[in-house]
Amino acid sequence: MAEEDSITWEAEPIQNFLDNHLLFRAIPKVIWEHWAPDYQIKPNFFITENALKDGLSMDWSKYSRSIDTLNRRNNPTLDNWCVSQIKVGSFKNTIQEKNLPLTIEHKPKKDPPKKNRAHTLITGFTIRNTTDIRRKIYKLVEWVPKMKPLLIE
Amino acid sequence: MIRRYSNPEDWSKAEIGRSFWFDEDKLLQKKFSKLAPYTESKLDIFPYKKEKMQNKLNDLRISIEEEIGRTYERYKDSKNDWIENGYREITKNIWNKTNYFIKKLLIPIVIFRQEKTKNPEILPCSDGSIDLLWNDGDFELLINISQENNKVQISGESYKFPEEDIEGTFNYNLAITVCIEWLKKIL
Repeated sequence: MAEEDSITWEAEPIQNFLDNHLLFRAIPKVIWEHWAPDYQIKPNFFITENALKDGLSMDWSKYSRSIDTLNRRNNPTLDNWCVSQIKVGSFKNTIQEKNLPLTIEHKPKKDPPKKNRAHTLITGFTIRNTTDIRRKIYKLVEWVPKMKPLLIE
Repeated sequence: MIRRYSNPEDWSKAEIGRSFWFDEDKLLQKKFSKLAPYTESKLDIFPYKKEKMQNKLNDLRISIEEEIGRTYERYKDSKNDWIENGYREITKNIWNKTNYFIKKLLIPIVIFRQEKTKNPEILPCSDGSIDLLWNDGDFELLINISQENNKVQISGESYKFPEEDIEGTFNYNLAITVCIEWLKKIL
């Protein structure tokens, strides 16, 4: 089957992110190794320099499986990376309830070698609000079953 | 110079009050002078708990030293991977500030929470900052100690008093005072 031309990929509106969809993000061992002993996801998951500049990169389950998210990383093994997920419905409800300035923005990457139709940004983090937002939403993030730190099992 | 109390037997009530600040920190000294009478009266009300509190404080200080040491070692061991991921180095200054911040908050937390006191989780962040997360059932407090302009970001929620949520960015010294004042209010 011929591969779809990435030039035709359009950014989709937020309405296309359905409540039962998921947003995936890989977390490196250097971050999760500090979450022992239970390895529950903590607020430092969210801090990246890019989250402040462009937004926090995630993969949308409409176009990606969690294994694809893992495989996009260097050295993609569960020793080095684990994969987390956020349910779109819970995310939308929380930002509405808590009046957070976040939004989901579909931003497919069209250029090789990193082309990725699932690429999505969570935007709205600023230098002033990140700590408050991180505290209010970190409990929404969970491990993808079977893609959590091996040490948990 | 950091004042150290290795033997809890030596701590008098006044020493506990004074140990809120360090000699070099004039601003903090001024701020905490308002708090000292409150903490002293708390100790007078509960003299029978004083020894317990002192022991608890001593235990926590030792365990936090150990925890910071373990976290630092883990970070150091994986520093190459950390840098390879494009993450910013966490400077010694940030580790020291974290240590200092926790120890300053421990005393009021022990006084207000007594036996329920827990140490915070110490969470290195990819932007070179460190998060401290306290979650003890009655409140949740997230503190981010950053390399940027001596700033500390705070976000806290009281489960008992939801109207007393706290959020803001403060300079390092003021952030300690703000946290203590907030804890006084909600505990």
